[in-house]
Amino acid sequence: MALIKVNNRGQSSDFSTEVGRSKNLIMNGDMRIAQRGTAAVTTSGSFTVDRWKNISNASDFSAVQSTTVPSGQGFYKSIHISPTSTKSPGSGTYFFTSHYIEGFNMGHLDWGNSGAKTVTVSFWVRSSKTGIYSMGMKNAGATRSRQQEYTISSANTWEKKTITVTGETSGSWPVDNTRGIAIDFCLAGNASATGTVGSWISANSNMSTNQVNFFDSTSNNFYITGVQLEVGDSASDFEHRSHGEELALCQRYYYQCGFLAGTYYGGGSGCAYAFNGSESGGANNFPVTMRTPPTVRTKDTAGNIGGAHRAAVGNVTSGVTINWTSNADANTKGIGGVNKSNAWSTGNMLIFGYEADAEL
Amino acid sequence: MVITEARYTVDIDGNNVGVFCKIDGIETNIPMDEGNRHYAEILKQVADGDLTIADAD
Repeated sequence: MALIKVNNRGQSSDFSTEVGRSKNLIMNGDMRIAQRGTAAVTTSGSFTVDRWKNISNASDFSAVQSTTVPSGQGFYKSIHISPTSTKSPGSGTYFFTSHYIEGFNMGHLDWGNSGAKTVTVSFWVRSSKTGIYSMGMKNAGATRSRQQEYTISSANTWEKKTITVTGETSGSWPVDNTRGIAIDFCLAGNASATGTVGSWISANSNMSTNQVNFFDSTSNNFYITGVQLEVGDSASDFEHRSHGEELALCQRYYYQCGFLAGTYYGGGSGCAYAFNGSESGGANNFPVTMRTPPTVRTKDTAGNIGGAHRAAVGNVTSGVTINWTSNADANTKGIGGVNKSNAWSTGNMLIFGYEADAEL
Repeated sequence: MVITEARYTVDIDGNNVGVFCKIDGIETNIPMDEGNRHYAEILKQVADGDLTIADAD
């Protein structure tokens, strides 16, 4: 009887190079999940879409989910970035859109050891500003970093870029729930720029010294989508995961429940029973276990952050705290209720929208 | 990240389990876990002498 080998989903036949069924270590690489909403963001530290964070030395940009995509590739969302004011590439300037891979998800790369696996990053990019751009990688302590250059040759034209990165055999790359690989797509700046390209260095670097200044005009537009990082020295087709899979992956790092809604009652919100005038208890489980106990913001039915709603009574508009437990593991799975001194009556039903943030 | 008005929150046994504060002016609940990036920032600012956490109400 003849035996045939059936590959896993995607193109790899090496199961050890994939996380679960996925070959792509990037989450939301096609930029479709936007749990925080789709309004443009303008400040450093903000997330344009799930898992994609903007890092800038100034609030001089606008970043928003876009429907401008390369045709025929199966994408329907991208990130669109544009400067709102210009900057010159001085020593304290930078802008990246960044993605952080959790240490648990890169253990199979064996980075930091002699058997470190080579990876390939592929992505689609379009910019009104042609020139040399930088894609960087670094570890959490920024003690090991590497810059790679790619060139955008035609303005306002989608181009697919592929960059192969030799596995890093040095440095600390812990296999745990902390930050593993930081991947930075730089658009401008000169802070910690390096002339060493295509090699790992024992220092922080943010970009190549050849980085073009995308921030030289507020008319510039940059788009990126289809980001994939996979084991090996070549890029395969982008892995289009199901919406449910991608959303669940993202919810390990961020989840909102009624937080964006203007009004909510019961379904799609947090809920707790007041067992005295200051405390309450409930079972508000997150859809997936979060990476770490998350930062939580609540909201009442009028949209006041820090508030909660007393059903059939009215809003508590501020100062509502989370009923954490002393068990960190429990805090990654849900929140029990909310508290505020003498803010309600025993037996009140408390309803609250909330967001939980466990980003790296 | 501007953190102000930080105070501890406690569990039913009176143990400090979280920090309630404002981050960039927005009321925020942070669990006391060093894996949480906001708590890590709080620890840094406390160590630098830039932030004091008040006792729970």
